[in-house]
Formats: sequence, structure tokens, C-alpha cells
Amino acid sequence: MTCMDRDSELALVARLRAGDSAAFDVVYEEFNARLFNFLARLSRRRDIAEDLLEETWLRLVGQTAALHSDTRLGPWLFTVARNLYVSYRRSRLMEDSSAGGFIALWAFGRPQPSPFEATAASEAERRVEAVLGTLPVAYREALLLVGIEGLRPAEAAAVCRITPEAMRQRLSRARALMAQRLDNMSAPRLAALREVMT
Amino acid sequence: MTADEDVLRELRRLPALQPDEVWADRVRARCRAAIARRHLQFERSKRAPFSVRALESALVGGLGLIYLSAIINDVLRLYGIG
Repeated sequence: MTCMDRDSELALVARLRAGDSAAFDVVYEEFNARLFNFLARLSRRRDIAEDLLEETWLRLVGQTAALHSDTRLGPWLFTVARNLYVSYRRSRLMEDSSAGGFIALWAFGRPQPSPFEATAASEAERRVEAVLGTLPVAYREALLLVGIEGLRPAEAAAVCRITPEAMRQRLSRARALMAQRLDNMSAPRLAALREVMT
Repeated sequence: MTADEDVLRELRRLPALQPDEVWADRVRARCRAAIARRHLQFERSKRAPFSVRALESALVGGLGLIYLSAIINDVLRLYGIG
């Protein structure tokens, strides 16, 4: 994850406001993968994530002239992406509890580890992805924004339109619930391992 | 290490998901084209002489007035005042 410094960000916003497409390229490079990760893990669907992400970029392009000179691009983009997801969810009444499709989220062609590492890593990753997918959306978005995307809790609170204190509570509950579900998922495996060892 | 920290560490270890490259290039091209189009429109509007811009505004304002007066006329007729 990369983070641009504030001066570079302000300069980029000024260039965007002036209609500089090279500035758009910089913003796109910086945020496209991050927004895609956020939307893909929020929606659990690559195709929906791509549709919502495209709309997010078009919203930015449509509003470049109206951006405030001190706009923080990260929170702005995550807010738009999140609002689009909320609208989508409302309109489609999407079934959110299924976590079965999480493997389809993973990209093909990333560097391949050894078979053992791959098994161990994918086992752990699948476990985390699966548990993440079972969390309520409000908890999931809090964990994605702060835990993965590195937004400050106050910024994440603004994205989710709640107070910073409410975000801190939500984060705390989300982490506790996730830890509990990870433990629950691990317990039968540990018991099976102990059985083999004795 | 607390369970909370474990959770965050596990989350940060998740592999980065990558959007389809062809899709990403198409979206970027679409956005660049939209920016270029908006920029061109902005430049054109800046270049247009004052008289043209004033004429545009007067035309829009005039049409608005005609529309509004037609509505008022209809309302007055409806109530038998006009």
C-alpha cells in the first residue's frame, strides 16, 4: 500500500480541477487496485466490484471541476465507492451472507510459492477470507478501510458517515467477532491434529 | 500480542486482488476521454467572446420568461381570472 504525501495530493487535486488527464492517471494508478480490493471484498463479487469501480471513476471525472482544493482523494474515492455499493445493495437486496464465492475473487498469475507454502498460505487466507465474508457489512467495511486500506479511524468514520467514536466501537466489535470466528473455525482442526498426534 | 492485533495482521496478509487488465485499461481510456472532452468544452466556453455568452444567457432567460408567463396565463385562465 502506498500513500502519497499531502503536498503531492494537493497538487494533484489542483491539476485534476484544471482538467489534466495526466493527473488522473496518477490518481488511477494510486487508487484503482485499492478501491477494487475494497469493493470486491465488500460485495464478494468481482463483476459487481468492477461495475461499481467504473462508476466511481466516472463520478470523479464528472466532478473534477467541483472538487475542493483541499480534498483528500483517498477518503473521497472510498466514500463514493462505498455509497455506490450501499445503493447497489439497496436496489438489489443482495444476499450478503454467502461466503462461498470468495475463491473467485483471487487473481490469477500472481507469483507462485512452493507447494507447501501455497497450501499453508492458501489455507490461512481462505480461512480469513471466509470469516471476513461472514461478518455483517458494517463490520466488514470498517475492517477493510482501517485494517487493509490503512485509513485513519476518523477518515473511515467520515466514509461510513458515522462519528469517530462509533467507528472505534464498530472496529473493536468487528475485530473481536472476527477473532472469535477464526478461533471457532480453527478449533476442530486443532482437535483433529491432537487426535493424530496421540 | 492481542487477538485484535492478530486479526489486523491476518487481514494485512491477504493477497491483493487485481482487476482485469483489459477492463482497467478500458475504464482508464474512457475516463481520460471524458476529461479531455470536459476540458475542451471549458476552453471553448472561455474562448467564446463576451457578446456570444451574453446572447446565450439572454436567449435562455427569454425562453424561461416565455415559459413562465404561459404557465401564469394558464393558471389565471383556470381560475377564471384572466
